Amino acid sequence: MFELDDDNVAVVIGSGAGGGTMANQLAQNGIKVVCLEAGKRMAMSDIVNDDDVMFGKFTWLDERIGEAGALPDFPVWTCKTVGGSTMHWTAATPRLQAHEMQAKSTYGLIDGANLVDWPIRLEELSPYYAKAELMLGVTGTNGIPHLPGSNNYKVLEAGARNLGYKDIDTNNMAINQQPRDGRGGCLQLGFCSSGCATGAKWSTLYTEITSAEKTGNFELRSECMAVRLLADADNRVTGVQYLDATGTTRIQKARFVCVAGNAPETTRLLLNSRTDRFPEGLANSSGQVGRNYMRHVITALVGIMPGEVHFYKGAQVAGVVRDETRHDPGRGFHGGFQLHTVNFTPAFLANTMLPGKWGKEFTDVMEQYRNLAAVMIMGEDLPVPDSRITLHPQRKDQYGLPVTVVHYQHHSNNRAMINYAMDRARKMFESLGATRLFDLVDVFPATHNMGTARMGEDPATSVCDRWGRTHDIGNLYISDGSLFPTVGCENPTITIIALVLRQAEHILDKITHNEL
Amino acid sequence: MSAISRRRLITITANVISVAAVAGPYLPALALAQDNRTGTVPDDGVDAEALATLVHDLFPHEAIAAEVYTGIARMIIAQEQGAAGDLMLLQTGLRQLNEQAGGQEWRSLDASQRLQALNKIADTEFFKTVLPRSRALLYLRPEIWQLVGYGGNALQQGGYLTRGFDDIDWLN
Repeated sequence: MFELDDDNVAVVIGSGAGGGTMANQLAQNGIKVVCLEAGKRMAMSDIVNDDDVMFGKFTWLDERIGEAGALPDFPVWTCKTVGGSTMHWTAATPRLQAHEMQAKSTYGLIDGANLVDWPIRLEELSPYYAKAELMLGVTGTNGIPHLPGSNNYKVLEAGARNLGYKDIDTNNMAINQQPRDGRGGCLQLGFCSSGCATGAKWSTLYTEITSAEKTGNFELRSECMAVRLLADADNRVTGVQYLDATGTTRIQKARFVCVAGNAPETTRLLLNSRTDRFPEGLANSSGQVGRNYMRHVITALVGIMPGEVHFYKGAQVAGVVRDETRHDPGRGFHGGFQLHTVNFTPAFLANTMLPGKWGKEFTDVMEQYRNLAAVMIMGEDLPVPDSRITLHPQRKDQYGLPVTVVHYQHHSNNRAMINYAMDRARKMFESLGATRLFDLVDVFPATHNMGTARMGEDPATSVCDRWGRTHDIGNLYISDGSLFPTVGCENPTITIIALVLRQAEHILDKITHNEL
Repeated sequence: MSAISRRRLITITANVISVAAVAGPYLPALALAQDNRTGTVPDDGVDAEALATLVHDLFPHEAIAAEVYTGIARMIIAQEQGAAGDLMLLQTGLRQLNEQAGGQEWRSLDASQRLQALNKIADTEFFKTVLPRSRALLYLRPEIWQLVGYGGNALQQGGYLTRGFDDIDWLN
């Protein structure tokens, strides 16, 4: 639709929460947008309620290498499909808390942590959270009722009340109970992370992308892998080099570029776009691109309960206890954590829950699947400079791009938090008569990838400014979780969307004033 | 399977998260294994019945039919066929089991003797390969899902909104 040499178009890289939202905001306001997406476009009929099948359909399976605390063969679990990780997300949409955006001021100096305050405060982001919640139809906001509670939720709630917790409900979810805004209602299919066959769960695939297409200002180029950002001597991005579906190299000229590839791909693209002026990667004069990689502390507890639960029935994360999300160093760690519902397929449990076990002791547990309940812990992860995404010096993938290396180092705060949180979770399930408990620790690949192009006021210590524009390159924006200076303990997607809505407003304002 | 090597996918799915994918990307190979169930299996030199017994002994579910375990064994053999495969690993491993069987065929021993022999080879590469592979494949089987009470794809039935997602009756 748009010509490759049309230098009036905006190029958005990625079509997930950040890219899809940005593209639609620009297109709705008359800006011509080309969206480059590495993955294929699925039809709604391609989405089936089956974890095993969907994993093969939309997961980013190109080689990535994990080091240290990252899983070696599969360090991060992101998506390669139109809609990006909004196909895989569980649609929980908690806002960050004010103190979490002022982590350095609140937590103080912590050895080994590169803590900072965000360059913006919660009050500045709040209007955009509100806009995002309306856009997504988040339950518990805008008069939209909470989802009904599943069996697994009722177990969580009962156990939490036994421990004296009070702030418990079926979570703020971007899942429709009733049809709304062209999306269906929730049938409690379960396994939201396999994609939602009814569209009850918000995904850019069938919201922002289709809305943008109706404007006539938007062109989606799926199966197009961005390989390099091109910059001129004036520190301006001039275009994006990419490989199209046939493997042919193309260059799309650009007025400005928004990169939203999810932290691993956003990092790789910047680091791979070296110039004479930026020998360490574009927009990387600070040396911070790829550093301070954060992913949340994620563990789970599975319990064999005294009666049937059938925890696979129903929305995955529609149930949360917020009492421990506060900052209270008296617990022996900094930051807080959520306790929320989660469920697993027999295959996932078989492969993770009883490592090294076999024989009857294994099958006896699996045959009690009906009675299983599970709770997930999601806690704040502190920024560690050497937790870092880099490019492998030799290994190349099928695009000829250097393979991404994800090096993750646990901060000692993580273990203290995990010990405390798992103990709380155990006590919850024990109070209900659980007969056996299983820890799932260090088994999950990272689904939340953040911090590798952090925002900040100082160009020497951060990659982007308070708008997510790179300090080095005036027309280059980062529009995904890479921006987070710290991560709090909340699921990141709604914050990505709020940041991008705010960023889009800023960009449109710049365009109005002929400054972009 | 151009974007990712077969070997790497097996590693991811069997050892890392499982998450299951084993079936999806393997469907062509697996279908082939199923089609060849009678007679036309390539001469791989692997005793499929012994391997099926092994898979059973690793994950013994009384209510699961022997054919299901045989199917898993055939899938494992199919995965190891071709240039990237390692049929030798399977052949050697089964031979090691027989060597622990005091001159008999391992699979003809009674259950407790089989277990004894199995424990003796638990440190071998063969055992460490077959264990996660069997597990990843077996727990994707609809027969297992039915046994343990997992519903699988619920879209055809309209999900669980009216089918017991909130029917828990033992909580106070």
